[in-house]
Amino acid sequence: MFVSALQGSLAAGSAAGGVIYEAVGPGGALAVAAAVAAAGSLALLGRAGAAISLQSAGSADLANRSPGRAARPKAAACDHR
Amino acid sequence: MFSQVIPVGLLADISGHLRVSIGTGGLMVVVPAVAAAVAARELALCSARLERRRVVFSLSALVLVSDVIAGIAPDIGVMLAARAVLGVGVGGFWVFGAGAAISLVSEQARGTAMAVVSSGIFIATVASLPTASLIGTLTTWRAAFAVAAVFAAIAVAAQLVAVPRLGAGGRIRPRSLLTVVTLPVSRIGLVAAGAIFFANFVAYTYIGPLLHTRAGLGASAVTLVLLGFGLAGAAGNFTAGVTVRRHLRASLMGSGLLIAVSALLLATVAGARPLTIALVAVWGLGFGAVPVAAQSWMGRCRPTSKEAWPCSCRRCKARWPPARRPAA
Repeated sequence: MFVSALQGSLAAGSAAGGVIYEAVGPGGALAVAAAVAAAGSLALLGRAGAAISLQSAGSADLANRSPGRAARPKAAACDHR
Repeated sequence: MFSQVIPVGLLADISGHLRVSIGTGGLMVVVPAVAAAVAARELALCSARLERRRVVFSLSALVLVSDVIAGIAPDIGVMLAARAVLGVGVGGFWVFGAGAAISLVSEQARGTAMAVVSSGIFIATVASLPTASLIGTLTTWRAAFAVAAVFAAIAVAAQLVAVPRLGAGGRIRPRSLLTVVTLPVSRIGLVAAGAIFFANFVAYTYIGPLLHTRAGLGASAVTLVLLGFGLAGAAGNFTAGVTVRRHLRASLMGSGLLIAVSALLLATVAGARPLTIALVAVWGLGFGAVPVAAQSWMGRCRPTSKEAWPCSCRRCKARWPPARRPAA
């Protein structure tokens, strides 16, 4: 999924760049690149992005933690069943 | 990697010979990426039980076929068909390449195997674009595809000679591939990385014509600037490898912001060659860090021990199937 998403972004970016390059020129493609890169970066400022910093590399229980929510209980208390 | 980036360095040249506009020529980058995006998922699901050596060999052979056809393509239609074939090979490589390397060595040597694969990708990332541009500038763009075909043939031959049977992989459930979008932390990382990738390739695919029109650089100068981009990317890659351990969010954010700032300044500055070259290097520095930061983000969103996943309920099993759970 990760590979597909990044390759899809690559394709979409190149396609959009081609359309913008033809319509506006290289300046337009650069401006769009700047805007989207900034937006993508700033999206990490939210709570979901901050949650990655809660645990050090290799941390295990982060994956199941929603931002602002406590860590998942142990098996005995699992509410999925 | 080399095959994939050839059109980026030689976009104007190839587009001119195939009598299409620069924008239409950009499809030579779009089509393989679309094919790779589709193939990565489909191959992961459909070929999970096939013998891995055959799969990897077949994917490499597809790259070879693609390069040969692209090198003799008489028009854009044939070229795009060849590029689609390349996309299938590339998408499959990203799915199976690292796994095949790991299965070739003992458990103790898996880290080394991954490092060798990463180093190969790293070197290809740095060298491919300027090398393709240089070959195309000195000879023709068709020669660049011929060189790529030779590289692919060497890879195919090496796999025939040196790679033993790897056995079949495990079954993968379609639902397990969606794990990355079901978890809030991995989802926001994927959105950010996707946006940064999108932004980068909006301009990067057209970097050759862009440098020519914005700074008046000739083909040989563009080759040198692309080499600078690659070296800066290598520096970004190395730096991110260190910073992601303690500052993962800042690393991914910083790489995107470097691309944003350099692209914005490149859009506003025209004609100033030294500044343009410096900004392209900053751009390369930022983009070099993105793959490391994005992969680290996704890696950190996965559990690292069974103890962290004691739940054996149906929902948790579906979310983290055994194949994706690390050993205790």
